[in-house]
Amino acid sequence: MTELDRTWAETQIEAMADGSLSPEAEKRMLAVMSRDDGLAARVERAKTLHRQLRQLADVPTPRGLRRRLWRIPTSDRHWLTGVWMPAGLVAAAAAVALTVNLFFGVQNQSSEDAAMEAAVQDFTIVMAYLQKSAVMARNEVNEAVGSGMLDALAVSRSMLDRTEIDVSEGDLENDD
Amino acid sequence: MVQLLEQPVRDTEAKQEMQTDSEMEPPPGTSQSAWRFRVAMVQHHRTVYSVCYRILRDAHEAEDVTQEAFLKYWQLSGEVRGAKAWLITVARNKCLDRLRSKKRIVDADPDFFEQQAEERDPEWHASRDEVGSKLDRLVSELPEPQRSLVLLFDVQGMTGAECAQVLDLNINQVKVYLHRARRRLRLALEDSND
Repeated sequence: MTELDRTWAETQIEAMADGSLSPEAEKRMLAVMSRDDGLAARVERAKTLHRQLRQLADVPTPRGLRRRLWRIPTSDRHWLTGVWMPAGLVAAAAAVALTVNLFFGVQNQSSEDAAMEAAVQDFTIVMAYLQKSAVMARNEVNEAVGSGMLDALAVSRSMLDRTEIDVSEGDLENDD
Repeated sequence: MVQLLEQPVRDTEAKQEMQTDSEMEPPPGTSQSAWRFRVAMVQHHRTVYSVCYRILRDAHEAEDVTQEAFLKYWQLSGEVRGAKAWLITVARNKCLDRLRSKKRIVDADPDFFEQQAEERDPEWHASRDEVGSKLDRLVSELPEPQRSLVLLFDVQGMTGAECAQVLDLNINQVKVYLHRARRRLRLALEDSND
């Protein structure tokens, strides 16, 4: 065994451990290892390390984080999209109506009583619109939360089914 | 080595992701995008959180980054192909940004990681053996991209091609960095045992 062999072998320990050496290189490595116990021990330690790294467990995800992630599709909606769109449109229409009325009301100050009466009437209508939009929004939120629960059950069940299939396939392979 | 790196290490996960994209149908009343998001969330939240946790060594920051990554995925889910690689890429980049901004890439207190783990999840911490704890610490002290490579290839079982995609490396660089990282870990373990 030459010094060149020894130097080369030291650079190939990790490749030897994970089985990625070419057949020729592996043969040469085995020859060097047979004459150098220290090198053989280092290869063994590299193999052990490789195995231990693969056995490092996932860090458990905190329950609160899982809950927040699950809610992302229902919580992150723009106010003018999805379930909020009808309520947003109603509120926007009410705001436009109020603005237009106030504008014309300012211009038409000659009949103050009539304007006041009209403003009160419009205000009543706007309040009714806002109330209606709030009810719609509440219903939509209730519906979204309800479907979220159903989705949770469906995904869990489907993941469970797949796990069971994988396990049973694994069992069959083991039986073979 | 290249051939080895291109082989899927954990076939079940690859098969699951393939089935998710092509075969699973959302239940009635659930949009396709919400369904796709939730399946990706169920399949990958552990991986993403684990990678973040082991890079950042801080449970609260790992939670924040995981949530940011999944939020971005939800906002772009129609344009994303390969949820796992995409999520890990985004999460890792966010982790490294945080580390850079705090200038604590490898200079954190070694005991800090252990304290964090113990406070956050005592049961998990207690279940780990001494070697696992030591390895966690040594891996977290590796420089980038060696640390990410060990986490993705060795710990998470991703393929070399996936690692190359996530880390923006070519397959030969993956091989070289991986061997350097393992060598560094092995020497560190030998030193600590002496």
